[in-house]
Amino acid sequence: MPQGLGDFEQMVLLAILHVGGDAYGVPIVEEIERRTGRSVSRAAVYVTLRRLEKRGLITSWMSEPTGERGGKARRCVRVESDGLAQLREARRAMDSMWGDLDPGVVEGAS
Amino acid sequence: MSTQPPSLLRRVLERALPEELREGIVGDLDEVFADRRRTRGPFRARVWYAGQVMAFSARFTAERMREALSLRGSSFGPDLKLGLRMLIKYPMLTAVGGLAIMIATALGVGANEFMRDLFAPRLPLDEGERIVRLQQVDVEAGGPAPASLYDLRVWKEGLASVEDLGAYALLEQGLVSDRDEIGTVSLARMSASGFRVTRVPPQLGRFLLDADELPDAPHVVVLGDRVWRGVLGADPDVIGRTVRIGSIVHTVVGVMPAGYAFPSTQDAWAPLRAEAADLQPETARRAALFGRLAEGATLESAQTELDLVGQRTSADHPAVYAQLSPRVTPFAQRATLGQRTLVLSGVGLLFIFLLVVACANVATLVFARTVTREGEIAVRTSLGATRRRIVFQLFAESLVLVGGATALGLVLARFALGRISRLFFVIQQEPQPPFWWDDGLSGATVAYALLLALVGAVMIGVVPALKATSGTLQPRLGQLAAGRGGGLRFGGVWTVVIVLQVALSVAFLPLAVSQGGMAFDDPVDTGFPATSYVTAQLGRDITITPATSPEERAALADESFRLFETARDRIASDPAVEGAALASGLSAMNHLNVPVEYLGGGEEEGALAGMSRVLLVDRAYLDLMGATVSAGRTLGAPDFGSGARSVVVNEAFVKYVLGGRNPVGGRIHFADRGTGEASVVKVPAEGEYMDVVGVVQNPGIDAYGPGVHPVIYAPLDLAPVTPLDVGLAGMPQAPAVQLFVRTRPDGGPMTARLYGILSSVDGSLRMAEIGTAAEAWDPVHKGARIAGWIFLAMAGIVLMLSVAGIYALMSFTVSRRTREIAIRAAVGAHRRGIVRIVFGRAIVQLLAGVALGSLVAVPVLVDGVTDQGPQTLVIVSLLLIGAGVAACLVPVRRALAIQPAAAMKAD
Repeated sequence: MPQGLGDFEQMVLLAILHVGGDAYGVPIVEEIERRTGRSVSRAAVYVTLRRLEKRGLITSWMSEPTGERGGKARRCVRVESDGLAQLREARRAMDSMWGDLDPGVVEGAS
Repeated sequence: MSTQPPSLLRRVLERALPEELREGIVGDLDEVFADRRRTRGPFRARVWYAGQVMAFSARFTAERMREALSLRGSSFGPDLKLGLRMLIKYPMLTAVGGLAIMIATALGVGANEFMRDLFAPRLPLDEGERIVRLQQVDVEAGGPAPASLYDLRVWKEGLASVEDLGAYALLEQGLVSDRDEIGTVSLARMSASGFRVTRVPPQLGRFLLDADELPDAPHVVVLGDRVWRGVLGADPDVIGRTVRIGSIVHTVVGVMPAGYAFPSTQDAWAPLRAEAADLQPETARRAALFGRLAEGATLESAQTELDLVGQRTSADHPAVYAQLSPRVTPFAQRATLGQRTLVLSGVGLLFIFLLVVACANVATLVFARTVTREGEIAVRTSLGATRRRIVFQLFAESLVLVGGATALGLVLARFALGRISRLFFVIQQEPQPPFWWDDGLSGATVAYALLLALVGAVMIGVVPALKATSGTLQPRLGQLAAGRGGGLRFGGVWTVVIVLQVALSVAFLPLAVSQGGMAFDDPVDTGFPATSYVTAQLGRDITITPATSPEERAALADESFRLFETARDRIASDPAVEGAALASGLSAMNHLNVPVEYLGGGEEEGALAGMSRVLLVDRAYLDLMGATVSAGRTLGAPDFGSGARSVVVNEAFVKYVLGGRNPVGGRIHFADRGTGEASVVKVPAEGEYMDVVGVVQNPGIDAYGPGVHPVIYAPLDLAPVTPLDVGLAGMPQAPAVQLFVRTRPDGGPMTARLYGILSSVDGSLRMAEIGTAAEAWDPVHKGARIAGWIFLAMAGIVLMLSVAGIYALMSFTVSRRTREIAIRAAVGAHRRGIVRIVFGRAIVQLLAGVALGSLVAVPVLVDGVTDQGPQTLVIVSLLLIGAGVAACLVPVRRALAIQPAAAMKAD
């Protein structure tokens, strides 16, 4: 049975999708912080990227070295189909849990 | 200024990151750093960067550990199961290795725990670690000196860091109840504060109060549970009854609960009353002092305060205190920190040494087994198992063996500890262990044993595994494919291992076996009719205090001695008795061992010196014990009471101290009487010579057998009878001697008869520890037998390990030569020649080991320690050589059975 996605893992995967083709650590962190309005631990993001890659949910590759980074290449990432499938499954499960709840609970009206 | 992050921090970051992520993450952080530097300034950027380095280091280290654990978690269980299967598959290795580790653990843990209890015990009382002992140290003599009740008064006034200061003095006394119930009690005359210090409530009535110590207060006593149950039949209305202890009638005011025995093994407590003499340092009674550290005080702060008080007292009373310095120590501590550390670290080292020896031997066996599994290891490696994985599996296998054996060793130690410690106290002539003695194993000891088990498992599992998995895979697979066995090479290393293994066994085993002979020593074999002799401590129920003047004490001693002699003569004239005698102690149990110097005709003083036991005997003793004179004469009437200083020595003295020289006509003096014990029998002072008038054959009445110990027999009245000045607890004791009675075979039970005779002589005479000589020696024999069995167990284990080790190594090294042997046979070598080559090498290795071991063993054995030593040396050597030769047989036969053509083809 595949291991489910944690909240933070979902956020990282969604951030990669939002950033698009050239996603790497720096814009992924910025994207999460911008959308959630919270600061996140950069180290936690990188550890999560590594775990996701080990599980085959994302793949990474090194870009061409750039002068602005002192000649260092970026490690770019992309979400794989398994990653997408698990994201959808996580969303479905969450929607299902939210479904049929009293509108007052869902909308926050009292 | 550089736009880069600090280089040191970056290096730290690089080290913390996995290699494959390093470039990407370092680049990302550089990028953010440059951005932050621009927007927020270099300083804040650097602070941010430092924070990131710490966060990344912590996260990735944790991640690595998580991965490692999950990796192990997936394989550890199966590895352990495989380890269990291996134990069953190789039963010999399991039995030999497991037993060796188990016994090494039991011995090491037992000794460690015993010494810890002896030297650094914990008091099982509320905040017991804060209960302290206060005493004086004789700075010149370097030993402890008893404190006095004067010290108690001064320290009570001067010390704020020690509360509830009190004192005690111990006495063994007879007890007679108001209903004529009779027993003995171990009485503490103790300050009432002793009960406050220990914080244990009584089970009946009350404990002692300060008011009980007043001079005109009625005599009261608190009894222990043993006396209450054992002597007074657990009478629920005991409070208010009276008991006579010694010559004083006391009213019982309380009963303490079972297990309460403060300050050591006591079961009755009476108030210690101050007397006028205690107000003066010169005349104050000596006593042991205790107290409890006050809130916030430490041993160090108490010592500092005590030093100041001590200096003032020394200045005020230099005559008494000039060379005394007070000390405060944990109450139950028997030795100084230095001594404790020395003993405990010594025992710890012994433990480690035993385990290392056991584990090294087991490691050799495991290595031989690992090599037989070389094919399996090579195949697993080729299928992708990493070296780490294989080593970990072999480690898990050895962990099962060592862990199991250690657990069994702990159980064995726990079982044996209680018995051995009880025996120890009996031999020490203490009725029972002090109340803080704990036969259990402490958590620290168990943890220590388990830690060492882990180290042992590494030694046994990892070291052979690393060796077996070293080198490249291809050559080994190739050789396996060609049917040549693996590629491990041994060469000279294994020759050295075999030689050392044999040498160690040959050196150690004869000694261990000869000491192990004690396990079978039978006192009956000495030929001495120990069951025909009844012996008892003869004493008087009188109270003597240091306030008693020296003249009065001498008169009391004289009077006591006359009473003892009268009792002896009455007993000797009883029809059921063949004879009776008095001596200063029980043979070979509580003799003093003192350094002596012998001065023969015309020789330099001190030319011959040695240790000897000294026994003060009356004129009947030597005859009663059947000691026959072999030179000179025995002690006779002129030697007693005349001021003559004549002594007789035994043949063991002539043999061990004088090297066979005839001592008659020479003189002996005690080179150094030391302190404490020596003063108990009051041997003649330094410089006073005693004339040796005769030599007697070794009297049989010796718990260790006749002729084991050199003994000097001196007249009993050569000194005042007994310890009038110093009781071991710092209190004077009433005179006492050891009574010996030889009974007639049909004499019937003696105890009641002896009591009757004593009471007809004087009401104050009492006996203690009555029994036959055989019974009195029993603890000594038991102790010797246990020691013997320990030696034999160690010898057995070493022998087993050695034989198994030699067998494994020999069989293994010869089987490595299978191909060589087959090829030799193929090219036409004669079978006999091949056998000679193989066995010749084995025999050379074995004989080299025997020779090396003998170099150590022979000088010790020749020294005359034992009789069985030389035979054991030969037997052990033959056993090891036999094992080695037997180990060569199977592989050689197998090699010779290979068809020469097959051997050539394989090549």
